[in-house]
Amino acid sequence: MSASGVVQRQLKDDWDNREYEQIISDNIKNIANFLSSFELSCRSKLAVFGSSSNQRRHPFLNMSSTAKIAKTTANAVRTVAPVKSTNHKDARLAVLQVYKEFQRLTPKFWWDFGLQDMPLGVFRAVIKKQFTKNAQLTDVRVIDRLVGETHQHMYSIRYAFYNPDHVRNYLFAENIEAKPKDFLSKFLNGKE
Amino acid sequence: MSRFLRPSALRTLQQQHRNLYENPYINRYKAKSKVSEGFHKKTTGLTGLFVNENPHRVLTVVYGRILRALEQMPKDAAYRKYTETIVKQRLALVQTETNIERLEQKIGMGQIEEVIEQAEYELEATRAVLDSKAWEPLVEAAPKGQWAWPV
Amino acid sequence: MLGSVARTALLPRTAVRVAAFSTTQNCLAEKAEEPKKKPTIWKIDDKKRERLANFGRYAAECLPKFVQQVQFAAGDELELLIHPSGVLPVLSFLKGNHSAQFTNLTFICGVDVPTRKNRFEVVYSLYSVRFNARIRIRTYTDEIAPLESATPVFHGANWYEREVYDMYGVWFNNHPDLRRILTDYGFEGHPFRKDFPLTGYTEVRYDPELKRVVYEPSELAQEFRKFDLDTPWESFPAFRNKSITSGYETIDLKAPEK
Repeated sequence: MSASGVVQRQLKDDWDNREYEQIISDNIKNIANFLSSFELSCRSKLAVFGSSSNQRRHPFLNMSSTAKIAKTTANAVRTVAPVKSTNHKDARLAVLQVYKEFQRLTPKFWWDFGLQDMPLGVFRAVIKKQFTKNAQLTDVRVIDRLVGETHQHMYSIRYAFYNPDHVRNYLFAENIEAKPKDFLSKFLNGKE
Repeated sequence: MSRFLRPSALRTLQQQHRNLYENPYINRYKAKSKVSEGFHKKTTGLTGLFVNENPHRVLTVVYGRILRALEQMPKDAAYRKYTETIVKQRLALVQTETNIERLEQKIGMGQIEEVIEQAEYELEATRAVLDSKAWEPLVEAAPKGQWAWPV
Repeated sequence: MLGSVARTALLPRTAVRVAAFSTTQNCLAEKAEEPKKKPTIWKIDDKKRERLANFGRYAAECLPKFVQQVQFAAGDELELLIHPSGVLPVLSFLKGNHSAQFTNLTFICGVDVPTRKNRFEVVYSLYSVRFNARIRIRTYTDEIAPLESATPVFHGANWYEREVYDMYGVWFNNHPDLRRILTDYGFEGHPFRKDFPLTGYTEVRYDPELKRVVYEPSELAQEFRKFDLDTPWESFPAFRNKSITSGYETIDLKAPEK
């Protein structure tokens, strides 16, 4: 009775723990995968870093041609109309100014749009990220355009043209699931 | 009837009787559209255009401003030549003819209030031309194929 | 351009109907006398056309810095093609000048031609109540280069420019309130661009967990195919052999006609 009871209990424990074992083994596999991919990406990045120039393409506007044109203005190929600022220094100042203004607006923004589920400091960091994600831009006209759009955003926030939904969708995109990257989850997701 | 009403309600009624609603916009509009007795017309008949009782003074001032702005342009600028001709002609008419209705007839551009409005728009145009230096040669030709249609 | 073709084709049809109506009323009296006009063609008034051409030359002479070309579209519609830096002076000249007085802004719209170097065109249409004349001003820009807003000259330009911004993404400097007007606030992209996909970038649904409307990248089980949307009937048989630009004529600025 007691021997069979012990065996049965062990069997039951094994059965209960089967998921943990599965998870642990999966995680070990994941870590191994990650390490190998990390090594690969590090190697390729180091290789690229040696040869590449610091020019990068603008992410959302197909502006490669305009960027080139703006670069060659010194050679008087074509004079382009500046949005506001004439050189890179002006553009940088404009960005800093609008950033400060935005951070001054942030407490009101945070309160008015019901974003109290996160601390104000976190929200400030979120706003900052919106600026820093465009840090690689070099074209003055693109920067000025973004500054203009930011002013318009602030106006819309101040006068509550935006709803909290718009803000959450825009800033956090909580609704959009991350795209599956490895084979298995792609397979399980049923796409591709 | 006042016996059956409470004092507050009574007060409201009396106020309604005295002054229903003081609308500042309507008051301003009424003040603007007031015309003195004996003037030859009560209204221009055009919405938003109020009767002007001393057009000679206004026109002289505005034409003077236009001419002064034009003087800052180079002599051979086409815009300056054409505008100076017409403005000087009108100014001469304004200075010689004192009767408003006959002046309207001579200018031939509708009522004198419309002529004033035109003069004000012309002043704005002159200043815009002056600021942008529009008499200079072409800034930049259109890129090749910009105006070609169909592409 | 296309509108004018439509006008030349459409307007006479109503004219026919009116003519038929009037003949039923007093057919006996006029039938014998009046020679039959051919009512299906928009009659171009040569005198008016000449006056418009003269005005085009006058405007180009007054503003040589900005006017690149003056032309007629569809036979008798005057167009000034200008450099983008001259929007404000040209508009205020046309509004203010004593011999122009185009005080009414009919519309502002955009055109997208992606193959051009400056892919967007912005068209301003004006009407002169005093002289009963119309004029169109066309200028160009690309995705980034801003245009000066026309609101200081015409207050009515406010919403039209917002529409052009919304639909094409053309930026107007010094506009009092340049936000989207036709699409939603969270909208991405500019729908009238030729490269905007027919399905859009996002789709909208209500999320019961988040308890709000969310946007998601649009996904179709099957990609949109190329549908043949042309009508099987011929739209304008009277203009079968005419080129779309047959009404275009560039006005020579140097040598004025007599």
